Amino acid sequence: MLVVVGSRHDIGACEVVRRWEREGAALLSCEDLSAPGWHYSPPDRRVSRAVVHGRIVRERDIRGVLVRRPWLLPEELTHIAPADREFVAAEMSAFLLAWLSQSSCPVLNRPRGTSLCGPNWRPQQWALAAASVGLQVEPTRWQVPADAKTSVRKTPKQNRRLTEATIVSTRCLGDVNDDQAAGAKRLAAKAGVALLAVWFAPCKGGSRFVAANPMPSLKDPHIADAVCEYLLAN
Amino acid sequence: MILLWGLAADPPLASVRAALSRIGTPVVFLDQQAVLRCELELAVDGALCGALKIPRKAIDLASISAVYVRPYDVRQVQALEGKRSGDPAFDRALRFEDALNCWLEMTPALVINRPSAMSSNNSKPYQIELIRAAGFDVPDTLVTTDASAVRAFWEKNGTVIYKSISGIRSIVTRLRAEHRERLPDVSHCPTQFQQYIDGTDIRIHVVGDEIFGCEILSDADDYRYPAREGAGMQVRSYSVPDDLAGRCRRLAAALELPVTGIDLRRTAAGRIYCFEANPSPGFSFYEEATGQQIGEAIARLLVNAARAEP
Repeated sequence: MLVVVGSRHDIGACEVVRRWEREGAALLSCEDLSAPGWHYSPPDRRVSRAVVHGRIVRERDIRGVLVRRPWLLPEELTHIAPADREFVAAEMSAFLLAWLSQSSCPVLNRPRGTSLCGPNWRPQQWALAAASVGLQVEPTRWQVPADAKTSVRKTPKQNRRLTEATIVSTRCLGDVNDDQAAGAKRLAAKAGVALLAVWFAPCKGGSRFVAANPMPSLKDPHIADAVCEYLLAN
Repeated sequence: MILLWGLAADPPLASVRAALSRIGTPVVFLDQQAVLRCELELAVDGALCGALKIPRKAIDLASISAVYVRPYDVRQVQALEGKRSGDPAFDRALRFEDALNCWLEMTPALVINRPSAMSSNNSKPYQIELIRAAGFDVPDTLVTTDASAVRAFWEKNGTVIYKSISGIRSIVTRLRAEHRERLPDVSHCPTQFQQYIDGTDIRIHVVGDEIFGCEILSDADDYRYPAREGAGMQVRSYSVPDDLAGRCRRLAAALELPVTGIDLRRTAAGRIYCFEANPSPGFSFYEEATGQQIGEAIARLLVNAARAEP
């Protein structure tokens, strides 16, 4: 089976589960972490069990995991007493971090730092990493307190024509040229992720890195299929 | 230039600051209480540059060669008392700390310790596998939402403790008969249980290549809270065997923590188990009890990084 770790309120995650129905995909939500059946006792993973969409599954029956959330929020835990939500959210996030990090099946992306899905880098960290792998980089500035001229932490799409490359392991999807594809792959390698969206903006003599996201949209069926193939093939 | 970030009254920070003052090294102290009077600017245009303004001083971030990081939860500092999310001052303080943490991740300066490296301690079962990989014995661990699994684990190990999974501080507590009827409560949230290891607590501080060992004599399950169990507690210096010192240095390197406080326990048979590596150790408690010069060692590490700067 394939597991999608996400919220049942996340339309994108639910669509991926429907698209991968034939592969036995199911959603692992925060409600599943409040259900009896979890059993995790490393390093022996043979007895490990998870709860996915209300069903207890042996960990060895899971062929791959797609992560669609960086952490759990206290506000999601409506089934937990309000006074306990902050603590329980921290405990659940910390548990998922260990479980996803040490799972023997492919995970896109594995946790890094405090994020359940790849590094939770800020735009400036992505820009510096992109520059370090030889990409031309759009200048970024972050000022606290912000002055009137500065827009803090710009989003990648600001009414500009951007090109998007999505890296799925060794594949690059999207309408990008060879240089952009190679640069996006180098950036994914630098970030230690197998799934990454990278945006470029045109500039004189080529293009510049604008932003990256280790949790790209899977609305494009080609990308969703590539991710599914990767999880099943590895 | 060396940057210290935290609260003036924090004993570990005060210890390092005093040691740097004795050495006579120029230091910038970024006081968390002054968070609303500080400004930060970061820019990436192929390379990283930035500036920090604190009351009465502006600093080019490129001039910082070493940083000692000991912040508290900024929501708890006096400067934000009575302020909540949505209040401009509260939001500004959070943005300032976010930007500063961003710089700490990117700067080539020595950072003790980088936030990303400290994060391994936010998931105890994750960190304990890194500890096992570094060559330490670790206690049998079970994380479960299943009361029957807890009972089986308890039966197998005889004595069992439970503690938090995340970085939220919890008191290590022994599972006792009176907990039996509450075991089904674990279904609400994964809960961590560990084999109880009987023995003597050892705390080893790694500071660069330097090693400081302490032995803690206490009957409490968690020696940090002896009064809770009506137990006593005594701390004394411990001479760390070379093999153990080497493993501690390797673990600190694997976790990318130039300074760490490693919690171990030695059984009567001499076997040593490792429980966790604290990325922001409150070393002053052990320093005061033993006279070990841990703050001095951290200061030397910071100064050496500053001297190594081209």
